[in-house]
Amino acid sequence: MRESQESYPLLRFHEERPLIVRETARRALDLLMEKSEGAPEYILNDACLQEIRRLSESSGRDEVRDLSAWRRLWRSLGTLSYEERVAQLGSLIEDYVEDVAGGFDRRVYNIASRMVPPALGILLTPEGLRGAYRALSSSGVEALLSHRLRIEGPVSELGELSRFGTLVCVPTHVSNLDSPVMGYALQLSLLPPTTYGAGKNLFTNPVLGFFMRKCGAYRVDRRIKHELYKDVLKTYSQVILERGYHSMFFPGGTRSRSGGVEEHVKLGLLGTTLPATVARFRRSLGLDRGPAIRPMYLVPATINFQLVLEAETLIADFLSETGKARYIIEDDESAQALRVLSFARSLLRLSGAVVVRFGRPMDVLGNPVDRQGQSLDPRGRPVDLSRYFYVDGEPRVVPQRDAEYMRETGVAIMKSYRENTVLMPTHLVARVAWQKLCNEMPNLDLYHRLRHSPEITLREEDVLADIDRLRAALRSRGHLLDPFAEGPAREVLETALMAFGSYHKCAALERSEEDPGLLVPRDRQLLYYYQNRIDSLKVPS
Amino acid sequence: MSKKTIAVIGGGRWARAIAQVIAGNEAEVARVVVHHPQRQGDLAALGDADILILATPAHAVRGILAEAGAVMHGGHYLVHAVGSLEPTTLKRISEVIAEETPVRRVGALAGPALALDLEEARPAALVCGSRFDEVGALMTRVLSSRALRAYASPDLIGVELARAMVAAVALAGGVGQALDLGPAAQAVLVTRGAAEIARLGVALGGSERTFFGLAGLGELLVATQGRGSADFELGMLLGRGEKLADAERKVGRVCDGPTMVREAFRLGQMHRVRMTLISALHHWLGGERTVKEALSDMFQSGTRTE
Repeated sequence: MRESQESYPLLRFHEERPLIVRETARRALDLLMEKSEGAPEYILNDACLQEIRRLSESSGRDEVRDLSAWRRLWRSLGTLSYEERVAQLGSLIEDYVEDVAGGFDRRVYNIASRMVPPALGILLTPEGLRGAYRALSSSGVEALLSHRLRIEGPVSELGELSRFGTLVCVPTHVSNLDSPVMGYALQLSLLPPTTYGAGKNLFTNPVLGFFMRKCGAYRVDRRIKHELYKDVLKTYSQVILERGYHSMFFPGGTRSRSGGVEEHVKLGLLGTTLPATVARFRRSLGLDRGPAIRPMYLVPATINFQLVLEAETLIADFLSETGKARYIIEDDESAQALRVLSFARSLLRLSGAVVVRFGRPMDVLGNPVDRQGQSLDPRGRPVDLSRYFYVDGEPRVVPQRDAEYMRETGVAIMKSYRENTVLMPTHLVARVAWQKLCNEMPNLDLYHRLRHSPEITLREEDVLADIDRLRAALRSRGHLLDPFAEGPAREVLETALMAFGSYHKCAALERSEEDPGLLVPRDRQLLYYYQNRIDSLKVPS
Repeated sequence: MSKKTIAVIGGGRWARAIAQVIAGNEAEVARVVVHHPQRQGDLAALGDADILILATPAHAVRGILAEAGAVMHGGHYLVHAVGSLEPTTLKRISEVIAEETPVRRVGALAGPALALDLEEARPAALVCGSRFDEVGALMTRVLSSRALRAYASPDLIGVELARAMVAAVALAGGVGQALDLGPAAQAVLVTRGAAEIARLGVALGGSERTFFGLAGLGELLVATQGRGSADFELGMLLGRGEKLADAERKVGRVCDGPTMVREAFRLGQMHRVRMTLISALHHWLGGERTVKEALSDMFQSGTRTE
């Protein structure tokens, strides 16, 4: 049995928003006063200095306070009384909470829910706009998406858990399309919608910003680095978790630049599940007052694209970061050119398929849970989650312990990512072609391989044989292959070549015009990007 | 902090010695239970304890935990005093604990303290490696006595690896002793051995200072002095020309040295760690070099900075 749509927590967000904002502001103020040991001037001073420095370097738009206001506050800190400092801190917190907190409008949500499928239908249709007319009819949407977007994993189990628990989706992150794709995947799976934190930059688009703000997304300004803001964000996240709002975090923190599956996860906002869990146990024991808190279940998921919308930009960014001066100085113009993409044109030309695969749900410590939400130990025996949090007879937050617990949860999430990554034809073919390039240039480092000028051609027969070898190796290690990657090697190659040629400015790999039995890598950076998906799984060459 | 109930899991001399030290700490410890894994029926006592200390041979760990894991829970602190890796998988004992039990707050004990030292209350020291501050803090409190000093370290991986890899260097020390190479050569074997296992340990996630602290150099000094450890004794017999199987039989105790040499060599190759001593030992134990050739390989391996 699933949670009925009418009882989805997000649907009541509009009514609860003022309460959530008030509660977040109150708790954030308490937290910061406790951290500052009753001396709020230190926190205010840090916030002022960091914001003055940031806004002096680049005056952003849509700021909570402008540069002159920060300067005024900073100059006045030494003359304010204790009460005035507390009031200033409280006022700043309130402004930030108001800025962060999302909104929800049921009418806008309903419109968006109807719009997302056609929009995704267009995006995921090989014909792009030419297929739009089909995508815009409801039956066409169903037909297209059933072929282009596949959902895998324990969906019915998740539906069961959502009835009495709060789902915290933690997907992989490679594209800005991930949020709408996940949202639509949840909708198709009859799972409840989630709230999620989105970069404030995404809200600057008036249309996108309007829909995101009215559909439960909250704003995260990654440019702000001071502790006050981070604590406001964490408190907000904790409050909405405690109130049972299904949530979504991208533990990678940002889109994978390399194309690989996340090898490190950031646990900041996800870490709020632990104090929320302690609060749950404390309330259930009557140690703290407040309404009962539902158990939280983490749901790792992988989002697997045949083609990635921003692949050129992301891999260029990755190489410029890891290669640093060696890359940028030697080939600056080329690197710049690779970064320049017409986003709109890309959207309309995108061709590909996507698989969303949910992993096994787990508790906040990374222990697997069964359909009833019971935590299990590594041997499948039931374990009592509350006991992990007891100190001297009662559940308590212990920051160092909880940080370590969260690190282990991160390890469990990454393990789930590796187990649930679905490999597509583009990944297989890119891996094979990249390995062959490396074999042709055995003594060169990555940057020379990417930029080595002589054209290298690959014999199609060799590539086909290597595809079979690679698939055998992947299967033997338990990795998952997309059905399109399971057919005869020639079909896999054709699928990948069609995908590479249908969207990117320059195909990663294409058939030679002179000799159809030869394949020519045209964009080595893209080949490298797509093969990184397999490389990050640590599959031997 | 309330007094703790502690269960020591293990039936050997090492387990009993640890239990004896802890039982003497009446200010911090309410009760000590010794759970002998081969005796049935007292698993419930483990469930009631606050701290579990595992002091069994490495080969028995997984089986014991698979059974005892049924009464363990998330409130437990589990600290092991096992001086080796799991024999077949070569996993660290904390990894085996994570695979077999629900316990998360795990620590590892190592350092220059023999069972005899604890039994006779001779001065000695142990370090408890754990990622959890509270585990290190608890163990320093319950283990400390007038003769035994206990320290905490956040480097769980380093403590486990240092203790396990000491076996390989102790083996080399035994060979040096048998060949009567003299104190200078012995010092070279020990210090270069410590440096090699430190390099490998760092590549595997440990902290370098752990290998030159109580868990590494501290254990190594104990293992290569006097009668020395089982592996030191094995090295002496091998250095005198005994066959490995005969030597192991004569020692009559568990010797991890040959296995650790093989694994350290393999891991060193995998992580591209320079390991001259371990390579020489590996080739000698594998029959590819004589002991003199191996020593020559080691001492003439090219000029390098230390």
